[in-house]
Amino acid sequence: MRARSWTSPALAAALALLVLAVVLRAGMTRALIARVTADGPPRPVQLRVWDWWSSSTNEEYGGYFAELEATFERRNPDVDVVYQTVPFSNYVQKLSAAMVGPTPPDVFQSSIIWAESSYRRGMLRPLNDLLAADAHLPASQRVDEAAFLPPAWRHNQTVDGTVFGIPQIIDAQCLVWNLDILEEAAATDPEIRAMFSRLEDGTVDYEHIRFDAVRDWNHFRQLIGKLAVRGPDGQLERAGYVIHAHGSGADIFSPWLASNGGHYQDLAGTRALFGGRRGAETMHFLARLYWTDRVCPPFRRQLFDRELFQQGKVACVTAGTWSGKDIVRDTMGWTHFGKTAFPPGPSGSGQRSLTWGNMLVVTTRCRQVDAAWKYVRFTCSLEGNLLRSRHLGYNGPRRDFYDTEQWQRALTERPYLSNVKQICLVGEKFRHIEMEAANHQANPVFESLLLHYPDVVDGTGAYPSVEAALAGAAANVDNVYRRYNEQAASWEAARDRATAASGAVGDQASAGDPARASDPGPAER
Amino acid sequence: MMSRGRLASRLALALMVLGAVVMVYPYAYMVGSSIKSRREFAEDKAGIVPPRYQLGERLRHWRGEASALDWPGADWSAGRNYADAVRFGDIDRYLANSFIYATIITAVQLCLNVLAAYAFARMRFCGRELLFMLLLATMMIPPAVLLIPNFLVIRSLGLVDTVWGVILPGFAGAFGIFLLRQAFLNIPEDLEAAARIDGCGSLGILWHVILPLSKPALVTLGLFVFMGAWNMFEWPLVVLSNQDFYPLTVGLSLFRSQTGADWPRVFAASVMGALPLIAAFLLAQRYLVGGISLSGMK
Amino acid sequence: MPRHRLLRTLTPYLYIAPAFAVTATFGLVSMGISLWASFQHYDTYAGASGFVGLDNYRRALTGDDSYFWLAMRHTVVYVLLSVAGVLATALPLAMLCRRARYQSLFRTLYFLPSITPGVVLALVFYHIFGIWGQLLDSAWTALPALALLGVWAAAGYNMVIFLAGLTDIPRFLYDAAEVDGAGRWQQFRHVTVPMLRNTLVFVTVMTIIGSFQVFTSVYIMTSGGPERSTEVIAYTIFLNAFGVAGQMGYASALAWLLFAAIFVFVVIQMRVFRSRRVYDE
Repeated sequence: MRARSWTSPALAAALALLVLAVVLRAGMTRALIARVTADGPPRPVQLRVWDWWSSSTNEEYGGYFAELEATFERRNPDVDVVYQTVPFSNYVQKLSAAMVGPTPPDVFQSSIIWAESSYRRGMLRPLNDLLAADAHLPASQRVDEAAFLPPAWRHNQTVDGTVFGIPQIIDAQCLVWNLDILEEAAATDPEIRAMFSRLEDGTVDYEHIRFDAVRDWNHFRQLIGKLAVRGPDGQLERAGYVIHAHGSGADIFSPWLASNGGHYQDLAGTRALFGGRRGAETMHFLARLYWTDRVCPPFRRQLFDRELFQQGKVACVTAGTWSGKDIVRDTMGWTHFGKTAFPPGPSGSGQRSLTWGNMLVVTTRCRQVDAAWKYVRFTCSLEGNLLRSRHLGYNGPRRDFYDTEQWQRALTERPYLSNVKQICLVGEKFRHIEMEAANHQANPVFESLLLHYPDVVDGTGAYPSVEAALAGAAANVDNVYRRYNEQAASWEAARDRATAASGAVGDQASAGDPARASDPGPAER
Repeated sequence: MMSRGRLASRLALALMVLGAVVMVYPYAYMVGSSIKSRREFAEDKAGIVPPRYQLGERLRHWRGEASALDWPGADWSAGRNYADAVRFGDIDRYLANSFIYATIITAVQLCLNVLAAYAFARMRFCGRELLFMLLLATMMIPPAVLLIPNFLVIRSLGLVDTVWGVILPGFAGAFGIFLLRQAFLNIPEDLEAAARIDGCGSLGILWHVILPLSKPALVTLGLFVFMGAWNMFEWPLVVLSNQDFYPLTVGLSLFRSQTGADWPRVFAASVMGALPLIAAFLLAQRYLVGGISLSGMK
Repeated sequence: MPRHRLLRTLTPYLYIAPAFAVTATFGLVSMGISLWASFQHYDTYAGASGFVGLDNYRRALTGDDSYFWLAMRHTVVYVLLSVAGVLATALPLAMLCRRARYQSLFRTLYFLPSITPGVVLALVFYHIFGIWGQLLDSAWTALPALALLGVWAAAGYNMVIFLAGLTDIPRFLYDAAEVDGAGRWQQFRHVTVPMLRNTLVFVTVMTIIGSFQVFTSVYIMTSGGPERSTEVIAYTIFLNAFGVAGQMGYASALAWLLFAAIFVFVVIQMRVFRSRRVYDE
């Protein structure tokens, strides 16, 4: 077979076209091309903002960022906001790489699971001084503690009150119920009918489920048992509740643990607390739903809880209050579902959930703190909250958000939002320290316990007992926390040494960049 | 009655065809799934042909019964996921980046490897054996082990999250030097002597004599290096943060978010990611296959 | 003239200098830095934070919550499955390919997986394994499934290598064996296998080295699960380097231990199956 001649004109033209296309589209030339094709002079101040929200997973994010950027840039004509999407699962690693590289972010949305460790590493700028300087602003623009619901203001500060982030959302884990299924069952079952709220005239309101629809764990089991539908051969045709054992681990376990009065970790993040009695009770409860009551669909890696829920194959699922809009999008318009908190277990009291408030932070390598703070303040102001609500259906973390007409309108347009505020208010602090490492230790144990519960109970499983397994996992997670806290202490010590040293020289620049100063690198050793 | 030899040939052919089907099936699945809409994929994960094109579904629809053509998204055009992958996922940017990385790495590595291989093959100098052994030693270190060490070096050089950081380690390769040295050693020395008599210096000999005669080895190595650079995943994953510079492989892993993914779109992006190399391979097939046998005989 | 002489002696070094600088920096120097880091606590952002001596190694080898031995066990199982799978598929395939027609077409088709990025293959097989009975759900089948993917992907590449080796076996050896009354199987055992010795060693060594470093499929498909059954050493290293605060030193120690393991494996392999000339001339 003769190879085609490399100099034939058609091939050369094709190659030239290819090269042109590559050069025009490549990431390296993007800035250059943007400058060339921009209308008007370039703005002097460039603000790099990172987020994991991306239009590639949900197009509504695209609309949100577009309006946010347009509004902010209109009000601040000297600032050019540049967004970058970074995947959630890789965020810390990408952040660490970028912060020592040439294009670090100025502002980014931080999940609560990275925020504190980023601060202790020295990546985040404390915001107390900026907050204090805002005292003269009207209330709807201020972003200090008084403006927010208490559960939103938990993850963004250290024990001694140093604020390193401003919450822009409030989320909670909750139970999501398929109201189509409930309504159908309510026709013949008064107990299920009682789960719905009532209108003023006493009739059942099938659009809204009561916040406290489930009284306690036993009540939950009864209801789920009724909602599960079995075929003539005893096989589950419609499940009651789904437990995704593969890899979800702690995310299934911890809200139920919270409703049982337990905690995954202590508030400061130094000890794992799920290894005690409450944790064991919770694990037994979940495993029995699957193995004894048989109301759950089979454990499958590729069957994600929300997918099953959206296909109508399960009546109830654990999800976040943020997932409402995703359900609507994926089902292309279905809104007949509702959310409740987690009912109390034998050792718990009152409805509970776990809340967190993702926050905007300013990095220590931010080149223009002024513009960055204006952006943060705008995004977390009442106006920013309303923007998010409009595009994404989120409920805001601010107190004044719930008094607005827009929220009332949202409640009528999206009835699944009705209990969301209450669910957030009863939320406890979501665990937030070294989540990836802790999950690496504990999630396989949870997975094993759920997958092989009958064997473990019989004593023939990989663990002598559920209690022993959880205690062992908790001990390993304790190690993770211990190592993390040792590391963080050493970073802080190094930073203190560095600022003390540079303070003597009076160098402003290195004080703002302590991490660099504390790493002499191998060459200098 | 067929001869035993012909029967055996037929059997071998049948088995090879079976094997080829096994080889090609995942690609067919990928292409088929890239045309499905989200709903179709959720309902029918296993099928290759999207439900809305299936004969059975079309018949049912024609008869007026419920079918896949009643699902939302039944009017999904075949290229919709591809367009979305470009529009929302910037997959064309990642392709362009991969192309640039692979081309630069291949070009530079060929140059540097040729120079070094020529020196090792033809020149005498003090420490030649020792240096060559050192080079071979670096070949022994598996890439997974080198991931963190190279990251530490790049970090010390201040090249984290830059294009240079991604491509610098690829600028030379012991394997390439080894391969080219073998090829150069096979060229008869008299040709060089003749060129030298004609007044050529070392570089001239390289350009006029050695390179033209070792074209198969050069093309083989170039293709290997290009493929390796195109497929690199862990290294850019670790070094890069700025999305603008992601190569295709890292960009593909971006399509999956924590809460599942728009799988048909992911498959469309995957198809676009796999095509360029396949096209390049088909174009240069003659050289490549010949080259593998060269390296196989150790 | 001395200047000319100087240039003449320097020239070879100038030729090898650029390539050598790159390979030495990203081969030897980086290993040195990694060795230094393995004696420290090191964070990707905050840098080095304290000399700890052999602590990282001790923790890797004897720590309660160290998954080094588990990951090595899984990796070795994966390697053995890969080698067995490759030998069981590529060699028969090569022999079949020789007998069948359309050789170059088959070569191309079988070679497709080798030129497809591993990420793409992992994404597709994530679903295919789901269709084929949820292979990634059970601790018993997940690792073999990943090995199957590896074997499938490498089948074409290795088949081509074996093809080349087979074509080099002189015809007269088979004729001589047939004359001596050897059947098919005996011809295979006494002619093919010995003559392929070098190729077999080459393929085995390359497969061992390659499968020791399996990462992409684990990262994309299973994240080490189910129940840690697919946690391989390269994944553990990656996780500890980039997913845990301040443990890049520990990850470097793990990387050095992996290097030592591969080294030992390959040296044993080369000793036992020393490449030699198989027939005298």
